[in-house]
Amino acid sequence: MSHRFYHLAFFLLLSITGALAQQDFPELVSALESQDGSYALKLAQKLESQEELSFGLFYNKGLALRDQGDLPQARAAFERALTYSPRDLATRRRLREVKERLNPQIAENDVVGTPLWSRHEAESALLLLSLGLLALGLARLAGREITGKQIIAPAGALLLVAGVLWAMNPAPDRAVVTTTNSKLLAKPEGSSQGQALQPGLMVNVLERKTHFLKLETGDGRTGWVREAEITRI
Amino acid sequence: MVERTLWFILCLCLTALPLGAQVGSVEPVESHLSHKQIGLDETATLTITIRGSSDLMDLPAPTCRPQGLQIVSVGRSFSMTSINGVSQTSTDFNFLVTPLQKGRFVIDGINVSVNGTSYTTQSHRLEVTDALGYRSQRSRTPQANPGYSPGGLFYPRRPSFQQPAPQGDDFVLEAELQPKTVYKHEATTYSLRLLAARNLSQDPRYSPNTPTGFVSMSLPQTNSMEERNGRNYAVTEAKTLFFPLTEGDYTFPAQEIALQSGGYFSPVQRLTTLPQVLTVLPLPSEGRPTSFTGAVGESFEISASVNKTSVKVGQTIELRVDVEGDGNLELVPYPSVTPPTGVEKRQRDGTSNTELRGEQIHSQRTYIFSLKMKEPGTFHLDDIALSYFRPSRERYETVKAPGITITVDQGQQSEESSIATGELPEADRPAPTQGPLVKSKFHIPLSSFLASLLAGLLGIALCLSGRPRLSIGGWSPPWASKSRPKNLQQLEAALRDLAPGTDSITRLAELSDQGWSESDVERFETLKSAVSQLSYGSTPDSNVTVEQLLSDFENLKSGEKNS
Repeated sequence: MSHRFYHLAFFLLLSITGALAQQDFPELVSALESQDGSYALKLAQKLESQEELSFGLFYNKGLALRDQGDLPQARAAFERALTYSPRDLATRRRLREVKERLNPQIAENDVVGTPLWSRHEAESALLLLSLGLLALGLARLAGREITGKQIIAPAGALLLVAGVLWAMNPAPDRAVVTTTNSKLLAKPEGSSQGQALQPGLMVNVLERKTHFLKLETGDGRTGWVREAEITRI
Repeated sequence: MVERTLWFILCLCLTALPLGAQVGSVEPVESHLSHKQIGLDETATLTITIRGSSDLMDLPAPTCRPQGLQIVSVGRSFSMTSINGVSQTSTDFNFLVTPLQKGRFVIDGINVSVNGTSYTTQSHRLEVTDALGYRSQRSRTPQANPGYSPGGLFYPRRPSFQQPAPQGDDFVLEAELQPKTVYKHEATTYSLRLLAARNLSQDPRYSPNTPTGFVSMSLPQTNSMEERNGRNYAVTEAKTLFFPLTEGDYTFPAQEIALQSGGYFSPVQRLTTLPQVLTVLPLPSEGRPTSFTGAVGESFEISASVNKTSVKVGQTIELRVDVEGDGNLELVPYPSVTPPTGVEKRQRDGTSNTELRGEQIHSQRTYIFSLKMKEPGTFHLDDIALSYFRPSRERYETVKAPGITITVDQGQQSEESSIATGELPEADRPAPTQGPLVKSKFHIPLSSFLASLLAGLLGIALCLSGRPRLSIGGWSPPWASKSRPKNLQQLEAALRDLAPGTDSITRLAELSDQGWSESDVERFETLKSAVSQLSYGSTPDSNVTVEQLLSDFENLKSGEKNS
């Protein structure tokens, strides 16, 4: 009897916790609507710590951070929102505004950003074109007449698509520099000597050693920074 | 007996456990709020101390609930202590907490990562009461805060030091506070001088200890020579500017320094200074303008600009107010900006820069406001001002920015309706739903590119291997198919493949090289001639058909293979 009671209490507690977490998102939206950025940020952090991750969470967190004046963190939040919905126009607009406020020239040193397509979409496009070419070849083997133009068109499309995807292929691990005074250190050791990193800059993460990460910037510089100085996308 | 001994050991272990925990519980991250209750006209300092890591360069400003406090970073200070050869670093990040309204607030903790481990600082409660009215009595109790350090190695000098060098002393440590009476937010300089008549075997060890309730700024350390009582001293001097945040009497505790001279094993000599007392006067209430927001200094300049002067109803413009002068603007949360009726003001982020010019602080700060134009008309922003207290003249002065005129036109219907319904502009509108919950991947691995390109290349290769041969720029692959020709064109191509020569003599040589007999070569030539005639429509024998020619070709080929 008592076991049954404890199970019931446990499930009740679980469902209450879940329901409370679900209530936080509407509260976050209303906090932003009433322009209470500080409270909205608090709620966003709470949802994030509860692993209630979603496009809406990061978009709204980006708005709250932007309103609080924390532009590097705002950029990181919008970039994370894009990873959930890469073709969301509002997110791309907010991101562009934040980048312009950070520094209009920041894009020059950025690494490749989030493309409009996901990996699955890109791979599907490549597969479709290559299978089309393969089908033409098999038809030709079966004795069907295939003209040169019929081959050149899909082959050219395949090369074009592959070239665009290659040029806009982001690194598997990226991050945004979210602190001022970050420096690219030569070694993964405590030091204050190094090239300065602009806050809000997007970088590729190459390697990790203890709490240091090896980064690569868009202009080809590499070095180590502390993990706390960046936000992974 | 054995049982009793075991119980005794168990009890001993249980007692030792919490003791061990206490010994090891030196938190690497601590936060301290200078006051629990302040008036609207006061400020508090929040100090976050990070121990054991000199890596951290910046911390985000903590947030508060509900909104009503402005928390801005006012710099950091770094100190290193060495006890029995073990060095410990400590970095203090200082934040100035300025109340914007009355109420009870919670300053939330922030997440800090120290050497790869995340810590959350303690949250604080702060009650903001009515303005205290710049009370005249000076009775604030000094609050000792060993965690708060000024960030330099040593400090000041100047004529009247309190500890003149006794004749014959090799080392002298002096401290001075100048001036000893200042107004709130006015700088005082604390100087620490070390005079050394002999060389030191290693750098002196020093742990700064100052009271809380100040924002500090270190001046560069200087070195000089000085003759005193007939002896030459090398003088190392370090100065720090302190800006008091509230009125009262404050004691700067005695500073101690440990030196070692005359060899590594010589005894450590400890020098101490006398404590220094600072009196912080409240800013006078007489003649205080309503636009006064805490600026203290000798001179300030103010200018203002907007990004648009002509907008529609419901649109927002950005107002930038630039203030510059000889005072610490980090302590000034905002200048006085009184928007006219029909304009909603909201303060946004800004930038600030503080530098030292000689021993004077010079700061520049840009305040950014969003002005939402809610009504049509012409608005004059001519009440942008900064009032400051000038200590040398002991009076308040006010500088005003030139006026700005903004024209607001009637907006479109959609904008009006959005304002009427209270809908936010698109840039501020939050995402109403959670949207996608699954994160996508974007990096395409090299293998995907290679697989697609290989499949495509295979398709192209297969296309090029059929008959008649396809060629790209005259090239066709060597593996091109040699299957049976099915029509006249394919038959022509097949004959050409067997002997590409353009005349019969060349073809004879080519086919002989392939081992063909003379009769077969003759049959080949006959077939080729018939195919040519048929393809040009000039066949001599109307009974010859394509099928017969194809059959002859197959016979010729099979006969050749058999032979």
